[in-house]
Amino acid sequence: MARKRKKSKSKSKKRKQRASAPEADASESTDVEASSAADAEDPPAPDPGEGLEEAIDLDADLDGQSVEDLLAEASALAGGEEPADETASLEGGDRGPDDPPDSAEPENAKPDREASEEADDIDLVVLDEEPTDDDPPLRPDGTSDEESITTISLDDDLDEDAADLIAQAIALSDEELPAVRDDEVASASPDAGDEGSALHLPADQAGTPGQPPVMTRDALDALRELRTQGVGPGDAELVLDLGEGGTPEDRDRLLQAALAHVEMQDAVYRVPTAVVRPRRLGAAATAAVLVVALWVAFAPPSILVPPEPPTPTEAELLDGVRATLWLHMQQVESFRVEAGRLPRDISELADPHPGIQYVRSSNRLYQLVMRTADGRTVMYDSGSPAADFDGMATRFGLDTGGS
Amino acid sequence: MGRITPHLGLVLALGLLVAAAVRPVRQASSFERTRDAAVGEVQNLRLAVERRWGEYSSWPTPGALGEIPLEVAAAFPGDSILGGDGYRIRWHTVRYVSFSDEPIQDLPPEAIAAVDSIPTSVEEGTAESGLITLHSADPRLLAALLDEFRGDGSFVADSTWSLVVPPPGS
Repeated sequence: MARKRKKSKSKSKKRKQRASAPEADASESTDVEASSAADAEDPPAPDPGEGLEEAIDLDADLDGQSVEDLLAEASALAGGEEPADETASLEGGDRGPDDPPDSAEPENAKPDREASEEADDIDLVVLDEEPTDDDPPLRPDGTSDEESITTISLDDDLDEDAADLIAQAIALSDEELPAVRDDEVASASPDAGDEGSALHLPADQAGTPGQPPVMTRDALDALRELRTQGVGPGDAELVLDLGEGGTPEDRDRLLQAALAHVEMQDAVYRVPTAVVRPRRLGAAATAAVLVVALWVAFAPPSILVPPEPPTPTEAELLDGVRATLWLHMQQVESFRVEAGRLPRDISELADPHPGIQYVRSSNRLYQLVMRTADGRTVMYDSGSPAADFDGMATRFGLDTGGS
Repeated sequence: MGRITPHLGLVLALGLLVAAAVRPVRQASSFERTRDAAVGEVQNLRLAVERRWGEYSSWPTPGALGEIPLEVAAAFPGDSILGGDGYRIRWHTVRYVSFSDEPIQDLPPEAIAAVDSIPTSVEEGTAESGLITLHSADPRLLAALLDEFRGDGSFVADSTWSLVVPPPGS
C-alpha cells in the first residue's frame, strides 16, 4: 500500500510550517505530525533555496499491475471530476474528503509505524507545504519558485492513490497524446538513431487494443531530455525535475515522460531484442562454404589435384602379352624335351597364365593364344612364329642357344 | 542433441572444405607410399633370390601368392606376406629350352624338310629362370613398376606385372 507522508527537506522549514499553520489544513493527515516528530532527528536539511524537484519512481516491477491496467483505470477516472486540489486528492487517498484525520491513532504507535514504513521504502511522498510569510511569492498560476521534492514510487505496493495520480495526469494530458504512426513505432526510442538500443516493435502490434500504448513524440522528447540528464530506461527510479514545474504544460510533459518511461521498460521486457542478422549471415556463409566444399570434393579443380600417375599404354600391354606367350612357349618346349611329347592341355604346365589358350594341332604343332585388354588376339604358332617374338631371349637375358 | 548453431555449421563446412581439398593430395601420397613399398619388396626379393642362386646355384622353392619363400625368409624380417595394400607378390620359376646351333647330322636335309616341326638344331636341354610377378588391380602401380624396372626384362599383362630373373652368369 502506498503511503502518504510529508517529508520536509528542511528542519527549519517544517518548524516554520507548524508554527505558521498550527491548525493546518484539515486535510493534512496525522502522518504529517508523526513524521515531523521523526524528522526532528533527521540530518540538517539543505538550503531553503534548494530546487523543487519531483521524483517519480516508476519501476518496471509493478506487482502485477501492467501499464494497460493503469491506463485503463486512469481513463476510467479521467471522465470524472478533476480534483480541485491535487494535494487534497493525494492525501485524501482512499478516504473521503470528509473523513476525519487519523487522530485517534495512539501517539506511541506512530513512531513504530513510521519506522516500519521507512523500512519498507516509502513509496509515495508528496511534499505539500503551506505558504508562509517566509516563502517566496507564488506565481499567478499558484506555483512557487521554491523547489520541493515529490517522490512518487510505483513500487510493489502501488495502490489506488498512485493510480489516481496517474489518472489525473492523463485526464489533463489525454487530449495532447496523439498516437505515433505505425511507421514511427519501429524507431520509437529515446535513442533514436542508435541502433544498439532501438526498439523493434512489430508494426502490427503498435496501437492495437490490448497492446501497450505507443509512445508519442512528446514522450520520446521528454525521455531524450531525461537521458541527457543521466536517467535511462534501466534506472530504477525516474526522477522528474519539475523545476519551475507548476504549470499544467510542464506537468503534462513530465507525465508523458513518466508514462513513456514505463512503456519503454514494459516494451523492453516484451519485445525480443535478439539480433537476427548475424544468424542469417552465419547461415549464408555456411551454405556458401558447403557448396564450395562439395564442388571441391566431387569436381576438384586441377590446381588441387596432383598429376595422375601413368597407366600402361596399349603398346606396353601388347608387348606384355607377347612376352607372356613366349615364356609359355618355353615351358611347352621344356615339357616336350623332358616328356618327349607335347602337353595335352595347358594344365600340364606349371602355373600357367589363366588368360592363355593352348591348342595342340598335331604331335609337333601347337598354338598359344592370348587376348589383350582391348580385345586384340595375339597368337604364337610353333610352326611359324611371328617375328615379334624374336629377340625375347636376349631381352630376358636367357641363353637359349641359336633360337 | 543440441541445435547446430550457425557458427558450428560454419566450422563444420570449413572442415569439410579442407577435407575435400586435402583428399586428392592424400590419395597421391598414399599411392606413392604403396609404390615405394612394392618396389622395395621386389628389389629385396630379387636380391635375395640372386644371392640364393649365387650360393646354391638353385632358386628358392616357388610359393603361393604372397608367400615368402622359406629360403629367403631372412630377407624379410617381420613380414608375413609378400605384398602390401592392394597388391601381392609371387615368386615363380619358369623352364626354358636351350638349343645348340649344330644341325642334326643323322638325317638328310630333305628328310628334315619333309618332317614338320622337327628342330633343325640339337636340343641341349632345359634351364630354369626366376620370375617375380606382382598382382594388383591398380594399373598405376603396374605402370610404375614397369617404369622402375624398364630394361630389366619386365612386362605387364592384364593385371600382372612380371620380372624375369635370369640365372646369374647366363
